Amino acid sequence: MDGFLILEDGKVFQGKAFGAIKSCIFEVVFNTAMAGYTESISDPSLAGLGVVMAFPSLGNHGVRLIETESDQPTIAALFVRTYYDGALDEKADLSIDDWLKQNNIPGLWDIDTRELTRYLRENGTMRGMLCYDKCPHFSDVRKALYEWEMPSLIPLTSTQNKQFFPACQADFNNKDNLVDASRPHIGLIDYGSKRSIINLLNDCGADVTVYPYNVSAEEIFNDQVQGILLSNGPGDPKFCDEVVFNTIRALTKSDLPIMAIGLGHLLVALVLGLDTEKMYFGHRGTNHPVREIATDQFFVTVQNHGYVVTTVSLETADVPVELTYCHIDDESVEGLSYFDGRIETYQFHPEGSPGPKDTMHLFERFIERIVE
Amino acid sequence: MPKRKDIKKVLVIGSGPIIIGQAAEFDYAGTQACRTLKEEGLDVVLLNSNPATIMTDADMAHNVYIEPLQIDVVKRILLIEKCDSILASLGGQTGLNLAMELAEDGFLKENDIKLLGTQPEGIFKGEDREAFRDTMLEIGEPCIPSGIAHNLEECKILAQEIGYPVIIRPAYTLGGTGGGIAADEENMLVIAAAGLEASRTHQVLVEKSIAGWKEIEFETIRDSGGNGIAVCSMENFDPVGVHTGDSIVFAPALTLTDAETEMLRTAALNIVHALDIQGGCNVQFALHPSNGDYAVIEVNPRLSRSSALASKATGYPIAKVASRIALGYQLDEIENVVTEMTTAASEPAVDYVVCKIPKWPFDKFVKAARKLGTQMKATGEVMAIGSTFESSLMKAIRSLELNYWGLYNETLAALTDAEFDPLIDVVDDRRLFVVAEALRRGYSEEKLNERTGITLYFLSKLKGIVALEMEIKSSPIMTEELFRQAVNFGFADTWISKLRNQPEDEVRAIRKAFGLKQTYKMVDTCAGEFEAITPYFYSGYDEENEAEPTDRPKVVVLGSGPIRIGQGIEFDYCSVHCVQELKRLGYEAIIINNNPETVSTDFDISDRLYFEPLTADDVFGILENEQPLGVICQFGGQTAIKLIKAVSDMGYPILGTSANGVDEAEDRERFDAILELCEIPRPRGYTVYTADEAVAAAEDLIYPVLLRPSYVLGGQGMVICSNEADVREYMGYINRSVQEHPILVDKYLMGLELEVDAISDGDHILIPGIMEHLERAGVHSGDSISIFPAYISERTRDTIVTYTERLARSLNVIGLLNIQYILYNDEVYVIEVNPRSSRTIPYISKVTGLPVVNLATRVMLGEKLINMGYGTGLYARYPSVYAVKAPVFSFEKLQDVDTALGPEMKSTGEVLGLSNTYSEAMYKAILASNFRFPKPGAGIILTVRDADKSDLLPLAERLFALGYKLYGTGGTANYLNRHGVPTNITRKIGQPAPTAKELVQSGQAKLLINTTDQSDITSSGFILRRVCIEHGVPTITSLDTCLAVVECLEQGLTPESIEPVTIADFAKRVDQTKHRTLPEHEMTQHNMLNNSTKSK
Repeated sequence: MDGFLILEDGKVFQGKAFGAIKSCIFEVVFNTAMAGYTESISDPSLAGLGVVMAFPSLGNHGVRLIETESDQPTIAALFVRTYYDGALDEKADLSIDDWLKQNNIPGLWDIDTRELTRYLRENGTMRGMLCYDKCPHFSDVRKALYEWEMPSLIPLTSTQNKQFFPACQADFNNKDNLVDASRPHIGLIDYGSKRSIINLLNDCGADVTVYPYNVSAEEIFNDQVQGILLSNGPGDPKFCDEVVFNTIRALTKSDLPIMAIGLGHLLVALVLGLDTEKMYFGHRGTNHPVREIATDQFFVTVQNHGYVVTTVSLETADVPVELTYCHIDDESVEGLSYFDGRIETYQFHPEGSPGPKDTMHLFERFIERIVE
Repeated sequence: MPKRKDIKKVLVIGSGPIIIGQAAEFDYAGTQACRTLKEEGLDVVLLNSNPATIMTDADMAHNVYIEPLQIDVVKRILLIEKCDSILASLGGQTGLNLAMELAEDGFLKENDIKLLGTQPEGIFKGEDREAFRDTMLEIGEPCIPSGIAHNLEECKILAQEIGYPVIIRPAYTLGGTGGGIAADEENMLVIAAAGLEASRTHQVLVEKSIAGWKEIEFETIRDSGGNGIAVCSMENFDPVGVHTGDSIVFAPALTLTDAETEMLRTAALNIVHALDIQGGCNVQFALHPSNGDYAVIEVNPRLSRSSALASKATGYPIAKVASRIALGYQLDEIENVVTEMTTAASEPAVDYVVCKIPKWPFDKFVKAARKLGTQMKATGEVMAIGSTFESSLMKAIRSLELNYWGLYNETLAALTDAEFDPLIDVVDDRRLFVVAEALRRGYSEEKLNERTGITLYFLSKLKGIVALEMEIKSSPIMTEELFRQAVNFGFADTWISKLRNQPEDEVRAIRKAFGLKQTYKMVDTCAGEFEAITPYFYSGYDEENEAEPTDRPKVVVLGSGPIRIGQGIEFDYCSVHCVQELKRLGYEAIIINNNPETVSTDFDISDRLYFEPLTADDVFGILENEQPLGVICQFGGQTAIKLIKAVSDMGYPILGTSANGVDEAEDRERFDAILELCEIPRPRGYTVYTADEAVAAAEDLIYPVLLRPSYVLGGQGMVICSNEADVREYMGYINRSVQEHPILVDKYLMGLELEVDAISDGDHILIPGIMEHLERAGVHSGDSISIFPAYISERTRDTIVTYTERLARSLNVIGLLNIQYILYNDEVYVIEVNPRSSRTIPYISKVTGLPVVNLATRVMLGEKLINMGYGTGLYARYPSVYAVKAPVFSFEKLQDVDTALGPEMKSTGEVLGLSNTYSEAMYKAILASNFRFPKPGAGIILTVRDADKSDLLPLAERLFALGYKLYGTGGTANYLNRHGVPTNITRKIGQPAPTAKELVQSGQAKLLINTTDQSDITSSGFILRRVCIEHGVPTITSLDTCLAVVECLEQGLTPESIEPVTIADFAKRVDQTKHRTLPEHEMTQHNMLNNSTKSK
């Protein structure tokens, strides 16, 4: 079946349908990662977005559910040049096509994804509509496109209930060992956390309690966690519920070490008096170099964001703040440190997945801060 | 960290002659390095023995030395030039080995010369097997169970411990020379013996064979500040076991999960950190197909063939960046010139699929073992870029110029199932087509995966291509849908026309009617994320065209495709110079080529680079897009010249000699008519189709005769026949494939072969100089030692100039022309005319200092020679210098290839010796060709055919006088003893001991002099020659070469005694003495002609 992606400025890209068949409206972004489509598509940071994969061949090894970053992918739609539907080895659970179908995510293939990527680069992130069979007149869909608002996504991507993830070293046969005071205990507020963040903390020897996005600070304090991780998540930080900000505000006022990634980093910035803005087309890929200001080293990082902390707002912050990482290409803010390092926040994803784990030591550093 | 302040003058070491395993990629790397270092304001001195390279152009460095790559020579030059540093990591294994030697013997320290880039400790850890394993153990990177052995006994014990099958890898060799997989002890001992021999340090690695694992490479780059990135991942189509240089490779890796990719990327970076790499480094891994295990196979702590591929595949200029890192810069301080927005710290992201296919010499060496293993056999490679897996593969296939257009191979298709089935288990160059044929015959992907180890993804993709081929073949009409799929799969019009048995122009018309038209996308290092300015394009059939033509006047230059025997790097040299001249003249220079190893496919050489197959279909698309004012086909070897008619027929103007002129030179009958008109004699000959006709012709001409197909390149399929049986055998062989053109039978004249290149503007010609071939006609010109200036009479010189002028005018040559003459009984005959650039252009340009390609380019654009300031006629007559070009072979890489030289070209590269004296020039050339001169007292085996015995006698006398111990087989020894030269008798192979073979194996014999009429691989001579190759014993198969070697031995020259000369000084001396007509000193005898053939 033919499918059409109609952009808010009237530009149309024609392709062929795969995955689920579902007309919908979303924001269109592009991703330049060459490997790790399973992780990318299941990353909750991309919830609600129509994702264009710049790399032209998708699904080459099928989908291994063990590699997903969330229980179910929440992207709105997927646009690719080609996808693979050939023979798969025994490690694959299902094909990319079946996976999308199962999760009711529509896709279009046979799209000139390079042209689309370049179009978004030139004209910025914009809304798009997916429809089938016949391309409607733009005048007929313009209104729908303009009136569409990005829904609130965090309630969908966050955990519904508090959950406990013991450290890898935990002896699962011994129930008493599951909570162990000798191990660091981290509270993670889940705005749409990638599974690998929790896994990595566990790998580093920490127990992790995962809280829903609307948790109160009191509840966290009651659990006597020793450190807080504010996770990544989807959407515009400014549109988050008040409860989100209140909890973070209370946490920043405590003396708990805090680490924040992605959306978490943006939320902390807003709480502490900095400002954020929407980027023209965002950073989504696995090859972004950032400079570590303190050492003048640089690292290749994974990024997945459409919003950024404004550089000028660093000067108007309410609290002592230091720029710790910046993007080498556009010098945008990539990492901030508040209160002399008690709160360390990162725009990039140190957990990689998909992509380089060159900054994975930041998790270890965080645990060290807690243990101290 | 900014640039180091303590570096002012750098010696850059090149990689020397092209051999299998070390090809044009180092010209590309070295050229980028020289340009970068000069940009950084440094004094650059360059040393490379290879005259065919761009990097040895006089203006590439402040001083360029074309001298033997010997440690003593390097030391001399470092001292003469007072260099404070040396950059060797861009000169391949040759450069790296030299740098290690300089470091090991303390020379660098003594003279306070800094080795730039990765330090000796790091190189040692990367190159020495034991040190490497220890390092890997230290950092916890898994290696394959293995051990180091220094002799056969150790090999045996180790192999038993590890368990068969085992793989043998020699240390410090190129392209895995001498390695192999052994299934049992007997087999292992054979391979290990060769491996120990090949290794510089006499050590081999015996390791567990992990055949069937995926082979993945990472190309990394790291700066001295410790920042490292992975430029590109690459995945071999063939599982581990086939040398990566012989594997079909895709970039980026296509079938890995993110976890696998990052596991290997992290491992690669850990390794380069452990080696403290400062520059580029290639890391190869074996990855278990499913359980996540991996092992490090090897690292190359330098730039390599893979880094050239990674550069071209991503647009990331690895050599340039590595050069800047060597000067102290950090990656994030180096601008990415592609985007001008990012830096070298950004890992490239690509939005296309790249496919590389090796180009093997098996079409020329039909008798060579085609089996692929750990020893590289390919001479070159093609690369293709496509928006889909399928299109990159299909483009790469047709770039090979093997007349394959898709996945269909007629020979394989004709086999019965019983004949075909066993081929699936054979790993050779046809594997891609075998697998495709199996899929066509209904084998399942799973079954093939089991038998070949090839990943299911690749097999399924091939199945899709095969299915589409069958559908196109059987579909009653080409629907738009079907055609669209075909172009998305990269099918060319020619392939569709062949599949459907429909004329090409009809197919093309259908395609156009559907609105399917080639458009072009840019290679930009960032998958479209940033605006890029690289003029580097590949084709597709999308709507958007990123290669919108400019309104400047444009000229398209066709490149020369993959490096192969007979068409090497020389043609890339010509293409690049043409492009540079066009740019200088204000034209927009556009190049089309598909060879990732070359300078011409560096995106900042031309104004626009189209990385596309060199076929009519692909070229047509580009010409339609660009609408150039002309197309130049003269510089890209046979690849480009064979497109001249198609381009001309498409209606695009040819700059230079017209398609008609080319045809006149190549078509035998038309050419004969021209010769008659010009009153130029040529050896008598006939054109024939059948064996009977050939025998009749030969009998009329009187044996020996020369047989060859018309329209040939590099003397392909040429043979000298001395009797009817030879003729019948050859005709039987050649007529196995259908010949479009007749076979030529010529009288074979054993005279002095002379060669000229000329520039013609239609009115006048300019010949830089006349070259003479040391070996008598019969050895292919590309394989013979070539001497400039030719030692001939003034009268002969004038005759050659006159003939050349007549031919140029009659053929209406505009541009370049290459002619081979034979001087026989004092008469000049023409044997071959090529109305295009030739193999000798870089050599003759450099030694005479004439910018031959640049002048030819200007002539093609309408300028006249008389206005160019270099005069007309013969530029240099007998200047007081000698330039000797010697061929270099790769026989050790190719089993079952005869090392005896003949009319079919076998060399892969060349070196140059320059001097004021003939003997020093000859010595330098032979030394540079890696000929190991035997030391007095060593044994020399002499075994020559009867006809050569009288010629051998004086040579044997001289060798005996020099103190060599002579051995001869029956007839040869008897003859020499009878004539008073004491010679030990040794038996032929197959006879009772002691045989010649044993003399070689035991190390008693250090040189073989052997002439023969047989090339049968079962003959004793053939076996002896191969034994010599495998034991590193030089073989001389022409007495003319032998004479040159004897003279070198008599002169007592040594590597320490030779005087380095810069190419600029050499050319200056040519200019000052170009009008001389006689040698300054009495000449030594060049070859055997004076006392034999001439008197016959």
